[in-house]
Amino acid sequence: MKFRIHDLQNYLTKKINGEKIAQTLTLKSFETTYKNNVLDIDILPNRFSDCASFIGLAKEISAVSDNNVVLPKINFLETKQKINKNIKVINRLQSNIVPYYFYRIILNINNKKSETKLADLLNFYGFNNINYLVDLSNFVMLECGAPLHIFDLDKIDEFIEVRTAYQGERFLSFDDKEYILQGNEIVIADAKDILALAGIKGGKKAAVTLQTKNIFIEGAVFNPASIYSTSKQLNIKTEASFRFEKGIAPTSVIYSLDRLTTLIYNNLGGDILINKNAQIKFNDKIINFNFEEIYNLSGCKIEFNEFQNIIKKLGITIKRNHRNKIFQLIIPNERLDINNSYDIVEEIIRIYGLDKITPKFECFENNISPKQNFEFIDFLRNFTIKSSFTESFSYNLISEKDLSIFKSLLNGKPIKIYNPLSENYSFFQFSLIPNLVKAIISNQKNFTDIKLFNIEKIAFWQNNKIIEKYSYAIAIGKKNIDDIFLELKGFLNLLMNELKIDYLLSIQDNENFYFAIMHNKKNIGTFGFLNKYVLNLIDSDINIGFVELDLDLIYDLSKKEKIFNPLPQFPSIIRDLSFFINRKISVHQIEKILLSHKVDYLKKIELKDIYLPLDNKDTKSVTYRFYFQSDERTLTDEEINQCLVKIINILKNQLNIEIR
Amino acid sequence: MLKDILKNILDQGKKDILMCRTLEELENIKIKYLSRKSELMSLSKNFSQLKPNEKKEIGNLFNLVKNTLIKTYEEQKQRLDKISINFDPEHPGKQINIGREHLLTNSLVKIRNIFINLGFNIYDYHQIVNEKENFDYLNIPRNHPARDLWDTLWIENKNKKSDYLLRTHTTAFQHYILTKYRPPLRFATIGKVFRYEATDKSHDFEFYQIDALSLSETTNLQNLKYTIEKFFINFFHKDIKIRFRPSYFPFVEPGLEVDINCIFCNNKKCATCKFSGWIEVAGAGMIHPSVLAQAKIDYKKYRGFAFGIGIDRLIMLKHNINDIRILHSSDLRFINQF
Repeated sequence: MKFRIHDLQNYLTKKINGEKIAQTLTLKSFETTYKNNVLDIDILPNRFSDCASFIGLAKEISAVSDNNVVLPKINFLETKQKINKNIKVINRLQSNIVPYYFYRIILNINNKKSETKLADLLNFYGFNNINYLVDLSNFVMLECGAPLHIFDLDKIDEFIEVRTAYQGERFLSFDDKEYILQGNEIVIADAKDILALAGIKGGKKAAVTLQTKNIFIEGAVFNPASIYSTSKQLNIKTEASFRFEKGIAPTSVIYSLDRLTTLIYNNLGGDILINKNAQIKFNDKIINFNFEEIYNLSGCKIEFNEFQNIIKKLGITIKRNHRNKIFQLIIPNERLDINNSYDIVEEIIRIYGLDKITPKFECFENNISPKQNFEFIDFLRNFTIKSSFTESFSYNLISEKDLSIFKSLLNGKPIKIYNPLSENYSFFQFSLIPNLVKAIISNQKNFTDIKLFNIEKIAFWQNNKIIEKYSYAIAIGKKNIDDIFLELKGFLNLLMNELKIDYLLSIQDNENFYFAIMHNKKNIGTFGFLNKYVLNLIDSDINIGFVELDLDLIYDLSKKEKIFNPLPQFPSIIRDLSFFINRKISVHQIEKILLSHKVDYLKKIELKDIYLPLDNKDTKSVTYRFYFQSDERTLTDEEINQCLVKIINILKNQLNIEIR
Repeated sequence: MLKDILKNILDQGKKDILMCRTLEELENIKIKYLSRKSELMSLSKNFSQLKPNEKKEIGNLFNLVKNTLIKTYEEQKQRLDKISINFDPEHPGKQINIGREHLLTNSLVKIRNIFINLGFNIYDYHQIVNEKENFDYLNIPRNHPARDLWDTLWIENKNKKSDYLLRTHTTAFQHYILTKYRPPLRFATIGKVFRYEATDKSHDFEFYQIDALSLSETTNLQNLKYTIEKFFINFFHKDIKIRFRPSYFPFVEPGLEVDINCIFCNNKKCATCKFSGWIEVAGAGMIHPSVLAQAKIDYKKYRGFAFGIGIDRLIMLKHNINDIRILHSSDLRFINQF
């Protein structure tokens, strides 16, 4: 909010130094900048009720600097004549919705255009000049903080009623806009029509014009939440709604009402009706405060004298010394933000100086150590980087198109965003693959072999519950699909060996070339390639393959601690064996059979080569390397040859191989 | 005269030959000292003009120089033959492909470690939370204007707005921690938050925050200042000073804005700090008694501090990145720089 220095100066005894007060306010109250005699102040939302006015800000300036406030005089006389022009006012709403509804009636006014000085002031603060009466009520809002509303008394039918709107009821505002109401809005109405949308906007019917003679001034407090939701619902934001939704103190309303009455009386004349309604006495706002709380919360040792000086500046008075160092403090009624001892400490400490808080180490035993998977995630990340994959960034939101392309990776129902920023970000990711694939495509221009990975949250609905968990995925983008397969498979083997998890690939989705990664009949992830159709759809020139693993599952399955294996004492001896075998027999089958027979001294088998002869489409040539080793001695050639014969026999009998 | 020249040639020649590090260099040196056009060989042409007694002496010396140089050359050649490999030292070598960590994750891990060192437990919490955790428990009731401070992305269920949302701040973990664990406690969480917000150079709808809280019978604002200051010193590896300013967050009281002295100009005022000398980096305060009460914690006995820091901007400041969209990218031209 912007304030001209000379508008504030009227309410302070000492001269304001703009540059200096801006600095002080920034450190003690609100972020403030100063330029060309104008203070631009970012008033905090909870201080709007007491500070968003000339008087309120003058009080704040006097609290943080050496200055004193002068309040404008309230001086008007109520008429002694008995005039039968009073109007019945009915408040039909509960006190939590409309806690206070004050008003004042003034008759026989000569309304006119505003003087230049007032008109200029209002223009600076963003108000149009309407006529003297309306301009004065806007001025009082700026000066004292409370939004008041003036109705033309002669245009009101029978009575004033504060009620909620009927569903579908129409309201015509002063600027000729029609609103159809839903039925929960607070309105000010007469016997026939809605006169105003309470706290938000005035209506056309009883609007004040230059011809207005008799007026009804409303000063009310409305429930901030009601004003906020109506203003949001109808999308009307006005200076008044902005203030009401942050809360208005009833004392400010009374003061504003008196101030406006004074200004009208002195500038436009008129007869003020006697009104007991606006002569209410408010109870003191009292908070019990323990002086020790200052030290407890801030760690600052403030002397009692200093405490007394500070609360005096804030307009807080000590009502009673309760017990030792426990006080009953009387808080100014307009300070809606002060409600407990924390609030009082905040006030004291900011005036005292937040810069006087010295950093201090806090020492206590913090022996709770929740078990989470950070270490495992770090391990996975490092392991994958070591294997030359680069970590990508991903947004956690994906598009409808991503959903349709990668639907088979979804394990439940997708989580849809109710109010998405755009179609591109309308679902929470249920797999890391859509964004990894996008990352590969965006790098295609500049790089050829792209290897990326990501560890992030995925989420989906399952049995009406939201499941949110970490996922782990790698992807390779490259021209040659065989290379991608071998690299992905090699890496997956390496990782699963490291984690000591057995797994098998089983075809999951033929059309998409997706394999399920299975462990003990449990699906722990997906291994897949994008087919030509998808590659075309997403505009990729290269092939893309990926592996995605359920991070929580592999974390649970993995061996947590590694155990040392003694180093072998005797050398291992290597023999290679090449043979032809039926093409349909998978390498996995060969290995399974070899491992199911106990061959002496055989420690390890390793696939060295697969070759598909062009002249025979039914067979393939496979080369295996066998490692033999004994824990007791160095093996002889003869022993190894015997073992090899045994292996050959097994393979011949069970898989019908032919030695090359 | 001639004697001195020969001796010089011998000394210099031996030295040059032994200095050779490649066979190629050695051959060049051989040409310099032992070819027909070399200084040594051209000297021999003048021998005929010498007196006979000089001729003998010089001749012997000449032969000695020549033979010594040849011998040195042969020895050096043998030595180089053994050690030299044929390569071009200027060749860039084979390109090694390595994987790299994303700058963001790398920074998140560093930040996590700083908090562990400051004595905090790190707790990873959901990104999808309910309305209560994100707002109500934090003293931000429905229809409160304070909700406008956090533009929210809501989750849909059965074609309607549900009670679930993408957390708008990591502070959403607070109620869970306060109800699950008993004081004294010290916790921090690091992660993504989401806002319904248009994207530009300095805003994105997904970004990272850290939230920390400490709760004990003695926790106060001094401890808060210590923790925040130490965090920034460790993050920037610089002597950072922090400044508190009054602010408002519904879940803390007092509410504070935290500034650090500008790391670029050291309070001398520059464009980065908008000529103020300070950069706003965090929101902080003492946990509001009603937040503690909601978690059934005796707020007369226990006090706590809490603060939240936006991480992306700190990383951008530290590494001089001027567009958050680059930080939030998978562009390998960016990732490979770190």
